[in-house]
Amino acid sequence: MVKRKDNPWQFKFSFALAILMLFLVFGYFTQSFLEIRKVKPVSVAIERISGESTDSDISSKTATEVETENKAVSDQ
Amino acid sequence: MASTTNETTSHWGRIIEALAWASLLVAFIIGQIAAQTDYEALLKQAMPDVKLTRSQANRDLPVVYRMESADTKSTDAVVISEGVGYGGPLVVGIKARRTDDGARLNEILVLSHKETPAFMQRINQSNFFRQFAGKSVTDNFIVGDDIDAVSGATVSSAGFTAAIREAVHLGAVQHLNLPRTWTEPGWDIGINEVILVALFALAFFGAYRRDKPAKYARMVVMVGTLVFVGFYANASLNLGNIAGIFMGYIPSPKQHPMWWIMIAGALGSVVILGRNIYCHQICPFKVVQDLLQKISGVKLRIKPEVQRQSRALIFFLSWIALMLIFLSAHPALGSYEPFAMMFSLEGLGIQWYILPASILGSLFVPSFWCRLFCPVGLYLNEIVRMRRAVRERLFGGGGKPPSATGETIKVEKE
Repeated sequence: MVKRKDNPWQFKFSFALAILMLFLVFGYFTQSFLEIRKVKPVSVAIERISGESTDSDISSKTATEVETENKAVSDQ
Repeated sequence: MASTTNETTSHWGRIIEALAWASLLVAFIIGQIAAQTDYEALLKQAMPDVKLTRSQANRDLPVVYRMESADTKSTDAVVISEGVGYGGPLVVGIKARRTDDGARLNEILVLSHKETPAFMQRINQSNFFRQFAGKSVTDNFIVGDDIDAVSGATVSSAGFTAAIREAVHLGAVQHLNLPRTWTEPGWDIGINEVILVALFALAFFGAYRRDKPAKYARMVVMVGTLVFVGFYANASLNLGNIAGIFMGYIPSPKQHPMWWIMIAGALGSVVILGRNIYCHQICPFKVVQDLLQKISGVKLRIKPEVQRQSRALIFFLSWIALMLIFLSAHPALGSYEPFAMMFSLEGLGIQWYILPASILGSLFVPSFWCRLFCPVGLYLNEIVRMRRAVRERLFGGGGKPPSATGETIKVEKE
């Protein structure tokens, strides 16, 4: 049985193609990351969580109080 | 000594795996909280000069806002509704005006969507939303009936139409007290669904037999999947589809049976039969790679060490992709595969370079993308591996364990 001879240039060329592709995929991730950074999901999530805890304080107020506050805001 | 080193490596491997899962969970929770839609903010962004007053008639969707501005009458309203497209949820604002015979649609505003940019480009270029202007709220709004879908973006077209239909019809009943004179949409099963089922059936037939009819079946599937799944429907499975399922972005089977057939065929074949039929026969990008191989006739080998590491590489790439998808709640932002672009020739930014690079790689290295970069193939093969492991544990040995090298596609002898 003849053992197949490895050609180093084949490995090098296919490796170079894979590295090129890898760079481009990372470029795509960077592009997506920059898009996501505009939306700031982490800050939005933190704001919403802290907003909800403030809301729960408000819920302890009576319905009339909340209605009065809302009316004042809409009048402004 | 060697066993101690292996134990330490496996210990660190488990820690890294646990950290990866934990970070994905955190990203998922953050993304879901941040993605909760603020309809009023979206509307204000789309119509900054218009004063909007929310109708108190219904707290849930569709939300109705009365529009007040110098140039619009008080009879104008904008109705907000949500639907599910190919990439996930989409939010539309429907501007409507009350008339003597009920109400008519003025304009459709796409307030938010998670569709692949290539699909949205198609929809915008074909002026899909213009066909809604002037329609009565009592019209059917059914794709294939009074609405034309955009070829190559059929699921997105159906998603937008469903969102508009549900909002408009509910608004007609609740706000205008109009009788239900429209036709309700039924199961949208047509020739496309029949073709896809036939392709899967032929693929199963071709996978289980080795005779001449099976060879012809495989050839029919190859041509059919390239033309139909690739260029016509542009419905290749990608990482975004898988992530979308976890985020609950599942379209209705009544309106998008093709999506269900594709998922059921791909997952069903691996879970029930233990065969990855999708990657080997249905994936149109695999066909493109095989054709490129035939054209070039060059079959360069990949270094065995590189091939062995490819599984870890794909897991790492898909971890980054999933982090981006979960954080943004936008499947298209992490799907790095060139499939959608390949079959629509529409893309954005660096996607224009990923496609030619993958084509170049496939010209010289057999199944270049599948073996080194494809997350869908790796995941489907992992399910096959897990299925075999479970089967072996339950019923004892038998069957060769699948390759753990990440070589998702059988490659001809190089």
